[in-house]
Amino acid sequence: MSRVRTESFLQIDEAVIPQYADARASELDLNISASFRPSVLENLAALQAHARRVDAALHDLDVAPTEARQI
Amino acid sequence: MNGPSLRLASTSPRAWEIAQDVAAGRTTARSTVSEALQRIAAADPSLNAFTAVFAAQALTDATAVDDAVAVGRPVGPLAGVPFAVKNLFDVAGHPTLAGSKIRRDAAPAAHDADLVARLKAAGAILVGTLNMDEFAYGFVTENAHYGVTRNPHDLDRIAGGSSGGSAAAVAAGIVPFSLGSDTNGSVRVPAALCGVYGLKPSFGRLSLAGAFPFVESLDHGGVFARDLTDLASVYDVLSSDAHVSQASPIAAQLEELSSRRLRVGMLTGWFTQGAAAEVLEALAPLADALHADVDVELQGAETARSAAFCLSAYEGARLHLEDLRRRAEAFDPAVRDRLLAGALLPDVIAAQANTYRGAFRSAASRLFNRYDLLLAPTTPCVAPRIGESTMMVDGEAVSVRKNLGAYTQPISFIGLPVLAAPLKRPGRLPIGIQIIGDQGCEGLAFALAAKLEHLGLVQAHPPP
Repeated sequence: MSRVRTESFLQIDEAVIPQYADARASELDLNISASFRPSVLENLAALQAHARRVDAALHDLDVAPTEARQI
Repeated sequence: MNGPSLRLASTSPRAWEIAQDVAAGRTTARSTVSEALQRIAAADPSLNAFTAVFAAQALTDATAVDDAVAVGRPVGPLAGVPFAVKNLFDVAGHPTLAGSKIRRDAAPAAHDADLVARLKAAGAILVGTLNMDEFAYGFVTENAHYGVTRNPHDLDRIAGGSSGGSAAAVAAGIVPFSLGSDTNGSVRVPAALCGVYGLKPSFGRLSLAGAFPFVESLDHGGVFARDLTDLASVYDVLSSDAHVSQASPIAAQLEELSSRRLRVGMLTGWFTQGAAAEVLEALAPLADALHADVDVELQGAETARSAAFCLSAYEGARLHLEDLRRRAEAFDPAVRDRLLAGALLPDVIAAQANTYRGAFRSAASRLFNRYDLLLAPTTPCVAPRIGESTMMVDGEAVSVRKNLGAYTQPISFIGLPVLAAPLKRPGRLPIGIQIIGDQGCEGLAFALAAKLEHLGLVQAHPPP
C-alpha cells in the first residue's frame, strides 16, 4: 500500500475503507481480528465523516494546508 | 415509567459542615468516616460505584485528624471530610486501573496524584476509588470489566460517564464530593444525569500529575458535589497555589457573587439540535429569570465536536498502541474498537483538528465580548436505560455512547471552564445545564450558579 493511498483517507469512498484499514493496520503492525473488524470499520467510517467536516470547515476558512491540497 | 431509586436512610452532611464540626470538636473525623463506610456498604451493592474501598487506611487517616484537633494543631479546610476519586487518579500503594483490566497488574503508584495529595493535605479523607468507562473513553460507565454504575435516581438507568462512579457516589449521598476527569464531557455528562454539580475548570487550571491520561491536549481535572459551597471549597483547595488554603476565595464570596449583574446568552443552534422536548422545556424558565439573550449561536460548534472526536480517537490510540498490538482482546470491546479506528487515522487528521481549534476559539472569544457567560443544556436527554445502545436525535437513532456528549465536546475542545448545574426538578429524572465562562472565569460561573440557586432554579436534590 503506497503512502498516497493512506494519505488519501479523506477522499476514499466508504466502500474502500476496508482496504485502507488493512493497509494502514499493516503499516502500524496492528492485527485487527475478524471478530471485531466490522466494528472497527464502522468507527473508522464515522471518523472519516467527522474528519471531512473539519477539512471542509478549514477549506471555507481558507486555512491551509489541508490534506486534500497536499495530495 | 421509571425504575426503583436508591434512597439511603441517612446521607452525608455537607463537606463544609463536616469540616467545621470536626475542627470545633463537635464531631470526630473517625465517626464521619465510619458513617461514610457504612453508606458504601449499604449502597454500593445496588450502585456499583466503587472499585476499591480503603476502610482501614481511611480510619487511620481520620484518627490522625482527630489527634491533631485534640492537641490544638491546625487542621485543613476539609478536615475529616470523606471523599472518593475516579480510579484514574494515582493512590499511593495501589495500581491505577483507569477502568481497565490491562492495568490490574500495573505497579502500585508510588505517590498520590497531585489533586489527591492536595485534598489529603487539606484534611480530607480518601475512602475509595470509583468506576469509570475504560480509559475514560465513553459517556456511559457500562464497563465490561467492572460492570455498570447505576443511577441513584433510577437504578435501571446509567449514571453517565466516563466519571460515572464519581457522580453516582455523590448523588446517592455516600460522600459529599468526589474527583473526576473531563476530556469531552466526562464530568458534565454524569453530573447532569445524576443531578449533582460538576465543575470542569479551564484547561490546565488543575494539575493532572499522577492522573492516567486519555487525550493529553483535552484532559481536565474536575469535581462533583451536591452543594455549591462544597464545590467551591474543594475547587479553592485544588486550585490554590499553596497546598493548603485556609481562605476560600470563591466559597467565601458565593453570597456576594450571587447578586452580581451578568450578561447571559443562551446557546441555540447545535446546542439545542436534537434535544428532547423535556430538556428544552426545563431550560426555558432560565432565560426569563436571567433576562438572557436567546438564540445565541456559537458558530462552528458541530465542527468543533467533530474535531474533538478525531483528536480523541487519534491521541487516545497512540497512547495505547503497544497494548492494541499485543493484547487487543484485553480491552473493553466498545473502547478497543474506537481506539483501533483512531490508530488508523493518518497524522494529518489530528493536525487539522488542532488547526480548527484556533478558529473555533476565536468564534467563542467574539461571543465573550458580548456575554459574561453562556448557557447550554448538558445532555440532549435524561439518563438512558442501561443497555440502551441508541437514542433518538431529530428522529434518527444514534449511538448513546458517542452522542451523550454532543453539547459538551465543543466546549472542552477549547478548554473553557464549565460549571454543570442540576435543574431543580425534584421527583423527576435530572437534567443539567452548562454554565460556560471565558478562559479563567470560573468565578463568574459560580456567581451565576449561586444566583440560579437563589432564584430556585437549580439545586441538587436527593433521589425520590
